[in-house]
Amino acid sequence: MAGTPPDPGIEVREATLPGIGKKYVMPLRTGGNLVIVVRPDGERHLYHFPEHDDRPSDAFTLDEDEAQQVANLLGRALVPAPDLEDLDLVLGALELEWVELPEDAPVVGHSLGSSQLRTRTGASLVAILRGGRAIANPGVDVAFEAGDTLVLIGSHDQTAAARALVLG
Amino acid sequence: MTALLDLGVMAAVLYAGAWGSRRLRLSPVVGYLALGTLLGPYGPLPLVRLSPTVDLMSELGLVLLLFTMGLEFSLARFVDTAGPSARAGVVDLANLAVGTAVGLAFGFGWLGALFLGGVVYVSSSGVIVRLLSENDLVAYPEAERTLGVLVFEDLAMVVVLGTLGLLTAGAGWLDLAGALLFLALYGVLLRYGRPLVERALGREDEALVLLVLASVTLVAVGAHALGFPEAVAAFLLGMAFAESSHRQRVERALASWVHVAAGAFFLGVGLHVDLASALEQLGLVIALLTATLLAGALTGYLGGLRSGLSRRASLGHAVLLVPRGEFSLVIASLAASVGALPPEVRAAIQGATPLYVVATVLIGSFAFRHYRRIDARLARLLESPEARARRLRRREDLDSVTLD
Repeated sequence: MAGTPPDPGIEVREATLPGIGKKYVMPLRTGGNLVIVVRPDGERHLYHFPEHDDRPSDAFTLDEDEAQQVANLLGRALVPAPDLEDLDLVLGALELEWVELPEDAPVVGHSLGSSQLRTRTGASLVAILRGGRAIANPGVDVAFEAGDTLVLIGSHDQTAAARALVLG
Repeated sequence: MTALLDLGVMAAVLYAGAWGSRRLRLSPVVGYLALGTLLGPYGPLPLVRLSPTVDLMSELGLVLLLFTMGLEFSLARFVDTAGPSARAGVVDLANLAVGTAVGLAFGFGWLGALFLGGVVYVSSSGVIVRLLSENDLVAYPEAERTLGVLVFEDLAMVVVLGTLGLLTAGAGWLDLAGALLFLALYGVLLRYGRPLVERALGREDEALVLLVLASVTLVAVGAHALGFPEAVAAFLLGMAFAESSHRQRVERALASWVHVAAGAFFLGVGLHVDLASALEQLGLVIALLTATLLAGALTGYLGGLRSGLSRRASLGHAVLLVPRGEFSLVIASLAASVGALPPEVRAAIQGATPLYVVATVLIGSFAFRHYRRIDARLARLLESPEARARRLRRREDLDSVTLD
């Protein structure tokens, strides 16, 4: 399920055309109106009315599939891009560290609890990626295996200490 | 086998009428009326007789037509657009007065004149919706207004017909009491019957079509027995059913019945037309056409302006309202059954209405087809100097765009 798209706050006038369908009129900031008539069979008629004009300067018709495709195209460009500055702000003091365990890593075969990872380094283990699966928030009795990827979170010093601990 | 033969001939003639109309790009109503007149007992080629079968289908067509109009009429939707539509609709009411005035001038008396007013007042939703779609005019601002005014006209006409029905129901207080009883029962249905209607219409399609057919016909007959016009009763029942969540299912289930029976109704109207005596009404038809086209141009324009349309769109609004159709024929056939009207008035209404309807559909279809060209000419006439400058500037802008 897609989330609710953000409301851009543009007033759209809706009218019923009895026997024909629904009409939506959206004023454009560049002047004029975009008019969309939706038929009960799914057909969409689109019109551009220039400013101060009662006659469309351009019109075309989309069937249901074409309308869906246009919606996809328009929607794709509208997915909000992640704001990198915000991300830095939140993560500024935090680091996510991904560590893959080689066979000779000292913690292999030991449980998370016995490694005392959090107590000794301050970093938290948020997940273990094993064979394409993720073990989120592993419990203290989960044992490390060779080939595991550990996802650690903490300050720069904490994650560095944790890396040193698990790799030996 | 006679009944079956009558039905077969009727279906074949309807088919031919629909096919011919499509070839000429006209509403099928025109084809049904024309073939009914030409092939009817008074026509030059009397192939179709007035049979009990055609009478039955035609009577059914009348109530089913009104029932479907009621079904498509939603009070909620009307209230939605009531503001501008009502402002234009009130101006449009003048056409009822114009038709009545013509009737009075032709010596119809008040009652006959009011019926004639009704005949010329209501534009045809069926014809106009079809023409708007075919000519891709649905997005024009005047199309929205015109469709709103059509709803207003339907409502106004149901009120007028109901009142006329009450006035002509017969002399006694008993009839008036009966009609009021019907309205009271209808009020109870609207107020308390909703869950019942909702449940009853929630059946599978086979049960649904039978249930709807039974209720429409029996309610019509019951209303008639109580002295209330059956056509109005069918409309009101449609309106009540439209409030349920099964409106579209009812419409679909009944669609083929409506096609056949409404066709039979229009054909039946044609069958009763005696072309020779209808042509005697030519003077009346011409008077009606002249009066209503002129008055319609004025009321359409003023109504459009009053409801906030531009001058250009207001002129368009006046043009879009020209075609008359099903409702006019319904009113004419109701008039034919009113005993209080003198026979010559009934004959005049029956003869003049089909000619008038066909003339307005022809004029309307022509106007719709050449709408853009007519509209552009009219627009030049109305154009203000600033608008003209804007248009020329826009054209220059477009000319300066090149593809490379």
